[in-house]
Amino acid sequence: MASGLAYRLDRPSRNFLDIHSAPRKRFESAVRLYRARCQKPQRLHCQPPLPLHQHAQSKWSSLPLEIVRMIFLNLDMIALGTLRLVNTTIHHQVDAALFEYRLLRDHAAETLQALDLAQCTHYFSIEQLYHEFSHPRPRTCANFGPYLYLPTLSRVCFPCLMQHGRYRVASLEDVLQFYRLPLEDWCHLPVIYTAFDLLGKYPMSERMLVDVTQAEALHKQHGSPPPPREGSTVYYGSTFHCRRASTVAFPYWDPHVRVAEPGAYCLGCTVFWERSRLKRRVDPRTWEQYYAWAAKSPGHGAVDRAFRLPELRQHFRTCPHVVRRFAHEDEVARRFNVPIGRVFRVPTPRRRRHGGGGEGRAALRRLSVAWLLLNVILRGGS
Amino acid sequence: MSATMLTFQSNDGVDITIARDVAERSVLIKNMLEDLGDTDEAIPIPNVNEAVLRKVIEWCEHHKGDPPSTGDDDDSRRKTTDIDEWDQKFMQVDQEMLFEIILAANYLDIKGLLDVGCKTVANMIKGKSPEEIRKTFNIQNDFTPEEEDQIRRENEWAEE
Repeated sequence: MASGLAYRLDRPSRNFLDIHSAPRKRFESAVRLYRARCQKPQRLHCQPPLPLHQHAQSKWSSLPLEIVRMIFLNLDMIALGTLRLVNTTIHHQVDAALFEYRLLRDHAAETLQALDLAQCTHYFSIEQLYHEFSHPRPRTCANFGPYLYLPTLSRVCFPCLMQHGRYRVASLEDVLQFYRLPLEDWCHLPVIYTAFDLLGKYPMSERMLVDVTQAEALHKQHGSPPPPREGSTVYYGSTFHCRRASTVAFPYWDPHVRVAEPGAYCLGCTVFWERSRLKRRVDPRTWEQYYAWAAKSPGHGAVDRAFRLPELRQHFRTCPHVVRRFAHEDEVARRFNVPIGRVFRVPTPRRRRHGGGGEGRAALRRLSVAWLLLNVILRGGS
Repeated sequence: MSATMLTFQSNDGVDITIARDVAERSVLIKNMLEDLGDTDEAIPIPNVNEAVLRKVIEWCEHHKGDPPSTGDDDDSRRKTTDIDEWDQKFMQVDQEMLFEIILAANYLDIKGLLDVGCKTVANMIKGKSPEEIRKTFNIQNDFTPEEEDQIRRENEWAEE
């Protein structure tokens, strides 16, 4: 393992679904409206409530805590918030028995707010959310994934999000037309309301996004033949901005060291990419241009790769561009001449500095020296 | 040679005979049979009455051919509301029976049935206001207005 300089993004959600990009007041009122709508059962479920005899004793208190916890794990964050308001016992049960709820609220508050902003919180149980929260890697590669792709609630890294066919989104209107899905299938597809809705930048048709792979699976369930892909905007339309609009920054919770990791980037890889980029051409204006060009740019594979700190030390051992000294340490890293993140030093673990001997061996060496000195003093004295 | 039929006795003294492969949906019973070997005597199920035991057996019979849960990604991604149509109908019972089924599934260690029961209760909670939840489960509100305000403020992280 080796030391080196790295940086963390000041605003990991920049260029994605970002709560800071929406005007605060409009954001709050949109979330309030969404939450109010979530308390209308007919929108979410078609099941009628089960009957309870008028004077029947509540059986809730007879349930052991382990079962109560299993029920809670099937609920989303909004329903859990509502449950906390029912009575003191249930309030304590949520807070005490459901450590996932507290951890997510403490360490992924912005992600939860973004889920509310995208009006998709009610689709996902806390069990699903925590499952992604405590797993560092996407399903499509072995790298660290600092983002969450909302339509399927999947942890994802930046390169996979932009290039992998699994993360394909399109407007609900286009998908329903393309697959000729009946309207009742809407409730099977998580719909992501993009922040553009608040900003009023994009037409209504692009404000509700769904995952194309999920829609395709639904279409297959109906037993229909696959529609021709030629000329379809669902398959061949530009999806870069839609992919980004349905993705949020999502730290990883390491349950062993009990730390939330948002992801760190190798400064050397970024500096190398910046230098080689300047020699080649001017800044791309759109994400499509960026990716067409970035694939040919040296170091393009490394510049967008996020790491967890232990992996970063490993990376520094083999990285040809690693930066170990930097005049502007503690300043910000830059990309496209725009400040992006605070630089920090990732030190070599202390025990490895003593020739690989470790703390125990160093202590033994110190003891041997002390013993030798004592012998010399004693012999000199006699 | 293992017996193909087993008899169980509910806590109200009723004997029910079922096929061994159906009974082995319960991990408790499966382990017990492995430890004790074959038996012709009725196996007592002390925590479960006849009505609940018959419902549990009905579920086990319907799901006897199900593959064991692999716990892979796609399974864990199924939505809370995604309950099999047959299971949804099966769970259309009064609330007391629903809770008894959940407790029996927990005692007998039948994971699939326990999951369906918990999902059904979760679906009864989703999309309801606190008052509707109290009404559904016959729960008394013991919060003071100040406490209620405090929790409401905690929940509204959008306004922090």
